[in-house]
Amino acid sequence: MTRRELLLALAAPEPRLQLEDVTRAAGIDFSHHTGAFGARYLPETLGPGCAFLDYDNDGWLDVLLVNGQDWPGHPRRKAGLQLYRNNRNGTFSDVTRAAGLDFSFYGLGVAVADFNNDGFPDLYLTGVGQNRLLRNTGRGSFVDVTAAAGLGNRTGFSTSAVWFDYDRDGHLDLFVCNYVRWSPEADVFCSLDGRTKSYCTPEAYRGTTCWLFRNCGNGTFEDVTAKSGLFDASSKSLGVAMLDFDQDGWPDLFVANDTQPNKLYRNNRDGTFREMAVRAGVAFAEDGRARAGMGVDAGDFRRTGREGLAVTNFDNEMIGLYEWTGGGYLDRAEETGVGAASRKTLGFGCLFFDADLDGHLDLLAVNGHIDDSVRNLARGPAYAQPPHLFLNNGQGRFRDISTEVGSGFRAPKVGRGLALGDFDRDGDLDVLLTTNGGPAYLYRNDVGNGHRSIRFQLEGRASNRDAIGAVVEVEDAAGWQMRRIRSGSSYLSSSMRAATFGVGLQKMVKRVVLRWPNGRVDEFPGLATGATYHCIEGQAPRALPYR
Amino acid sequence: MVRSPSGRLAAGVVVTLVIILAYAGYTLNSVRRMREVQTGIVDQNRKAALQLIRIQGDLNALALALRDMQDQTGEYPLSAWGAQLGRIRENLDDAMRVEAGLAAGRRDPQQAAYLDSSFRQLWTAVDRMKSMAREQPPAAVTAFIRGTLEPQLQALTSLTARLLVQNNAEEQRAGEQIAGIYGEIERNAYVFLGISLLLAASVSLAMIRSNRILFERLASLSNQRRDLAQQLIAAQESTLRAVSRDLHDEFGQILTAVGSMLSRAGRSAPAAFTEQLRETKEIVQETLEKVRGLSQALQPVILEEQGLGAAVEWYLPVFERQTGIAVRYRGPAAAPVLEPGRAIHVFRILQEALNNAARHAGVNEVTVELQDNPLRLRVADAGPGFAPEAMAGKAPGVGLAGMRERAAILGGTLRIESTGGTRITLEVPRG
Repeated sequence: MTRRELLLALAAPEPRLQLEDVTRAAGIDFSHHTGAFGARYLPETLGPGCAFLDYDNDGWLDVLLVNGQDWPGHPRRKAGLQLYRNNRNGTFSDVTRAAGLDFSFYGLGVAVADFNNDGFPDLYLTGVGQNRLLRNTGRGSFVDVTAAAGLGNRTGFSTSAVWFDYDRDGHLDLFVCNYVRWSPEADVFCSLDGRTKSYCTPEAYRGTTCWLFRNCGNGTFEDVTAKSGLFDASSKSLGVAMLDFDQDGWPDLFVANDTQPNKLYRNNRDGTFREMAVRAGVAFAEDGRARAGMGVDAGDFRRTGREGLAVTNFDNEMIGLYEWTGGGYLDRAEETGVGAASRKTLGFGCLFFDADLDGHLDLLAVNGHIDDSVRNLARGPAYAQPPHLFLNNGQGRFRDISTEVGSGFRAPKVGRGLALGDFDRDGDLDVLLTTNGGPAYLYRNDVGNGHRSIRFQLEGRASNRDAIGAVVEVEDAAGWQMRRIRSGSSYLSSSMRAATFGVGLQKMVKRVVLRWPNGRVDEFPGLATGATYHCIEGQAPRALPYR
Repeated sequence: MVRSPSGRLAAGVVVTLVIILAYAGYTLNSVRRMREVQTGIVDQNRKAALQLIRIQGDLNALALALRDMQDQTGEYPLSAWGAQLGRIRENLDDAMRVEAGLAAGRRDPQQAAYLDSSFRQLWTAVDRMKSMAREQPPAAVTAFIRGTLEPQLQALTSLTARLLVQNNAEEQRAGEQIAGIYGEIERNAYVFLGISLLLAASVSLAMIRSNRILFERLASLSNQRRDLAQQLIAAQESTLRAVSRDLHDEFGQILTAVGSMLSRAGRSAPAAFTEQLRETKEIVQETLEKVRGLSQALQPVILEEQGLGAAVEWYLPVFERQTGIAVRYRGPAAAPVLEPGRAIHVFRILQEALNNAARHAGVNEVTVELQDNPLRLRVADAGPGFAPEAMAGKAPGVGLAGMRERAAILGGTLRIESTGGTRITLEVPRG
């Protein structure tokens, strides 16, 4: 710690939030199964993802945890994804079987959205082999519609996915990241110590293209990967975030690639994309090398009205914290304090959110190494690593307060997935994270500084029903804030869809502007904080108390 | 006549400064040369190397894409690679453009032309392959890739590798050039150090020698001046003594004789002249007394006959009468024993000190103390004194200088204190 950092730390106010580990109390009992039996297959290191979703539409967030399974011919134990229903009293019940999700599948990630606009969130599960599209029946269960939707007969090594309406036709399309060309038969021997097999880095394998599926609006999808210009067989993609970096109202994509240049796809508004990452300054690290991009999120962390980017990377590579500066992005990690603090950690899931509801987006990143054999290396990185919670001071500096928000939170973990959602409906965002080969954790956020929030739950009519891609702008005494309604971001995970704004101690906000995906703009003056507003496209908002 | 060393010293300083300036100029020039080499060659080379590596990476990506096209499993048509190949070409063209700019003027024109034509041929072949992918069966496309594109790509990869090797060689040469400049600077630094030390030693020796000569000369001049001053004082005393004796002996006896003659004449002269003779005799008598007084003042006979103590006690009332300044005198218990040739100097210092007090102090009283064994004379007044800085820039007073010279003749010291009045103290160690 430099003298300047020490002084800043001493001068910084005490964070008034606690992240209380309520996993056990909530009744969540999950253990990630990698299927590892000694062969050290590459997919074992990557999962799992997680999601906050309201699958039964009761207004209370439920929890979905993705899981792996045994490798063929190597039975170890029964495992599968788990769905926990929110009992509205701080506890959850395992409803996996009742929801029809107790099937065998080597899962890695999940993307949640209402692809058929029926008002119930559906699931797209990614993993090794055939991914699954699960339609929500609206009666507390899901049915597998992969084949019927035209997404069958397609195997891959899929990681993160995002639902978004790239052609603005009101139907959510699907972008799926694929990692490398891998199969047990094509597994490569790698070793850290020259004797025993270790997990390979992706350099050992060839890349593979991501997929873009256009929602035809009739329950089926068309593969437009090649047609849209997104086809790229060199990519080794792990994370994806939707954003609109050129602010033309058409959704763009940022794809985090592992040891390959990141991709920034600009939407050409005609069904095609143009790759701009090198030109925009986000393809490589400052030294010109491609970093090991894992998770990614986009957010207006400077309150400039433009979305910046956070990308987690390998240890010794630092988090990339990109700010839009007019002609492109600049990595501000070093000067904001995020770089030095994240230099020694290997990050996966990362999300911007206003942890202390002070009106500035903070940054949460979970960490953990990919290979447990690093423990055998002298002076090597740790396998389990503590997460980072970077508190934004609103003046361009971030301070890691993970040691100050509860002892359990700071404990080292082999972190992977990360999702945010207000499961207890108290107005702040709680944290759900998963660990590789270990448990999932649910942290209840208790903001104790009297700070308030305002939340917007959007429902599209002409636009897609989930309003994914819509922008909510709030003007308060400190100026404007913006959030995008999104799926995806982070790593293998899916967060609460509604947009939550911290407003400090303010009881009212001056003005709210809703920019819907199809271009419509709704504007409302003077809304009281401390509530969720259900906003239907073209209609006046309806306030719902948090509890 | 001793020549002033200032000119030679100034010349030494000038030469030293010139050498320092010359060396500073040389060093700055060397740094500039190094910077030029560094920015002009090394940095350019590194930037060019980065671009060549980028080109290699793009060629490698192209090779992998071509391999993937041949290995494709039917999931996507070969035409799907069009966008990926377009991105590679865009990046490659940009890298080529930047690299060409960096290598401008350093690359063999033939080599540059070959590179350019090779890339043009490659892209022509890629475009042809892309159109084949749209129109012809995959087997024909893969055959074209294997037979035409891959050999061209290999040739370009080899050419790029050679350019990188050339680049590295140039960078190595630049490194050697920089090492040469460093060596030259190091050698010249030693030469400069040697010359500087030599010059410093020469200037120092010259200064030491000049100082020694100057000090010797000053000491000699000081001694000469002192001898001269003492001779002057001795001559002055001798003259005063001779005049005093002449006044006392010659004029005194003449006037005494004139007085006796006038007495005799008065007894035999007519009554009409008696009064005039008596008046004349009184005038002669007054003149005789004045001559005797003047003789005493010039060279008190009492000093020779009765010693210093008596002379002081005689002189102080005279001073009081002449100036109206009261003198508080504290004399010694026993009269100082001092031979007259030395006592006259103590007496003259007393006279000068009292005269100074009368002229400058503006007081009504002075104090005189005389002690014996060791001899100590102190004359003090309560006047305003005089600031030593008031004397700065002025020639020292002849009186003061004379007092100091006389003290030096006595082998004693004269101390003058001038704060809160003036105190002049003569101390002569025990003989």
